[in-house]
Amino acid sequence: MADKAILTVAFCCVGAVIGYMFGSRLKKRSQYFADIDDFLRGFIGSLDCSMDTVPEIMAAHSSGSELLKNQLEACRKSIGNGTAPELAQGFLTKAEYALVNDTLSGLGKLSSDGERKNTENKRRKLEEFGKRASEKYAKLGRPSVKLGFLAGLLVSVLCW
Amino acid sequence: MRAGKPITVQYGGKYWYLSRGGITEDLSHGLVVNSVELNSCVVNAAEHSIYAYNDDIKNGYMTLQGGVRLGICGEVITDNLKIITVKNYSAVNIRIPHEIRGFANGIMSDIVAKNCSALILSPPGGGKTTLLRDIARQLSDAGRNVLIVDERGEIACCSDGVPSMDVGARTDVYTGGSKKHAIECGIRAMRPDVIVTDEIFGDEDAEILREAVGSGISVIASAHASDPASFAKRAFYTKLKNYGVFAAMYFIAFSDKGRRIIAYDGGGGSNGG
Repeated sequence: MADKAILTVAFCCVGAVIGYMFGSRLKKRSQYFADIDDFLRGFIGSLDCSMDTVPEIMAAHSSGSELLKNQLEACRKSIGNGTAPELAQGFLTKAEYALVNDTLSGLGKLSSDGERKNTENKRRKLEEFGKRASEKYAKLGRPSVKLGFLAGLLVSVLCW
Repeated sequence: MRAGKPITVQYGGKYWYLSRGGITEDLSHGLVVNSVELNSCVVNAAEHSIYAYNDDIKNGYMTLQGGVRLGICGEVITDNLKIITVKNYSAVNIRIPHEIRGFANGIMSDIVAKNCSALILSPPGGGKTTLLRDIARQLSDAGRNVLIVDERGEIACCSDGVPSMDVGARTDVYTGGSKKHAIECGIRAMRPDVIVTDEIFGDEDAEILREAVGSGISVIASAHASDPASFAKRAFYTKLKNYGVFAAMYFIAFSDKGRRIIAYDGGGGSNGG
């Protein structure tokens, strides 16, 4: 009886932890897309007033997302070196990564009108990915600890 | 750099080709640049921010840190005759500025005697900007308030507002914008004794310089000319002469022995060199 109780507690804890990690990942994805949307809106806004350079805007952007921070830093360094940027993919899918890579490495190659339209176009596409990420987080991410706990409980019952 | 052609380097008044081992006179060893590389060159020079440099690009150049100037040729894109931008670059010309302290030594006493009013002429690449820079420095260090109107940022080569070249201790610099705006603002706010400006061209420049002289400020400027005689035939020169903007003219001539500065009076007659 004690063995079953320990087993149940262990499985529930493991389930809760896995649920927490899964939820964290979904939260990071949602945060990432919100941050990159914020960055691109700020960039488009700067085209109308300050006309700061791409490296300046990237350096000035403070991001809550570690992945976006690393990507902007890699972009900024590559511009300084005159090389193509190598961006970390992190938790992005292939399609998401391709669009992010294309967006960030393609900034600053057009005149201001063209830049505004092109960046806005890419921002809207990324916004779609962002909507899906935040919907997924709302549906699965928030209750993920409870779901993990329940999954652990179910597994432990099956093992009795 | 020209698309599809070997990269050419001009140094010491001579042309060379850039090869893997350095500069060479042998055309066959010259490195050839393509249009994609030219595009990358311009984009990288603009720090991946073409939009921030677009106003300059529309005028066919970009000025970078340290006063390095990129001349750009390409396809001009217009909308109802208004220039939007330049793309599909076909050639890029990189000009690197340098200081020659003492370049103006031979003519400084003459300039000061003529109330710091002078026009410097030479063909492109002749050294007008280098001479103006040294004149500004010497006048400023001698105690005059000098205002440099530096449309393309090539005289003082300011970076973050600080001149990279030595233009003197009492020198103020306006970078970018138009000569007219800079001179109007400078006269009102900076109390200059002398205005130094580069590459004057056309009636608008003649008018604003006339205003400056009329305000009691001396002007030292430069203009492109193959020789003083051909410059004297230009309509805006006649205006400058009639307004009495310049008391002296100097022409930078090339010879086998190097550069020579030949002095002319404000009317165009030579006083020797």
